[in-house]
Amino acid sequence: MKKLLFLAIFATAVGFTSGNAASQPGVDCDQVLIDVYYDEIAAGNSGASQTAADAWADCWMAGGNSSNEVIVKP
Amino acid sequence: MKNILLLTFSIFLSQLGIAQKQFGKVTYKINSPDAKELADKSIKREMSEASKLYIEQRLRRVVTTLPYVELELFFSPYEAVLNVDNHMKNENQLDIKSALARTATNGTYYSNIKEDIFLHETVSFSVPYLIKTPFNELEWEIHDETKEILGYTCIKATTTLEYPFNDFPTTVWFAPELPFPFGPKEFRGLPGLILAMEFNHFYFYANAIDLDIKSMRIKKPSKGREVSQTKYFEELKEHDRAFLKSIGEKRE
Repeated sequence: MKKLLFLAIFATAVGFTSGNAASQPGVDCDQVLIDVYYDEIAAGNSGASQTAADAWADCWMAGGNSSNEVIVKP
Repeated sequence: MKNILLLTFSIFLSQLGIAQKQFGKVTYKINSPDAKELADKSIKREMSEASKLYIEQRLRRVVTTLPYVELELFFSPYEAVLNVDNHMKNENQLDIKSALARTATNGTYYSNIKEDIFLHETVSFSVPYLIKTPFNELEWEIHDETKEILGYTCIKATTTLEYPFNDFPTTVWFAPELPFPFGPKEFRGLPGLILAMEFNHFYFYANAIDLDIKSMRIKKPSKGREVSQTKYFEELKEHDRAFLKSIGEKRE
């Protein structure tokens, strides 16, 4: 998970994501990650884990909740 | 049905002589439904409204980016290559590679009839692969329907592409007057160039064909560990299990 979240933070930092679909606090970002992953992998996206990590980062940066440990790297 | 098959192969054979000396390029564009419709069609599991919103947001980016995408398939009589990796971001900073990933299109697709191979150079779960399969592997059903695309009469054919987590029933339209058995993505092996394709709610279509290319060098992809499709799918499932385990999930 640590590695995944690092990727997510990096993705946000370099601007792969944009906009906040659900910016209100209280959103479960871990569930968003799982749902986006299942949706992308079913669509045949071989980069589904990265796309899901990007969505998690978007959610977390917008004030959503996560029970996972977050490592923020420059 | 019998008549259309006879017609297809007679046109194909008559055009083979032309094909011996030809090189060409076909440019494909991709149409999609709007993001809401795409989300409604693709979301298959129960999920929160927040998750649906994130998926719709993702699909909005895909739908607004795809009109900027042009996929170029270069072909000679015996070889063809379609390279997606030369698309990263355009001048509008749209992430084309990420949008194409949603259409299950990535890396480099290479066909060689003489060597009876099809190669897909790709990266999955950060691992570079070179997936090798026989050229004539897809099972096609040819139908009676025809339609005209760019002035060529195209015949409908269908197949199902099997992926580890989903199967994709696919419809293509091929032109026997263009006797090159190639097409976009993994689709190949028909007696004519594929000029349109319906794949997982996306519509790939040829918007330009150039048959005046005198010569070209088609580069065979070589990056990544060479694996069979069966082995690749096994490893993809292992990566999937490991990823889900890392976030405390098990595949449903």
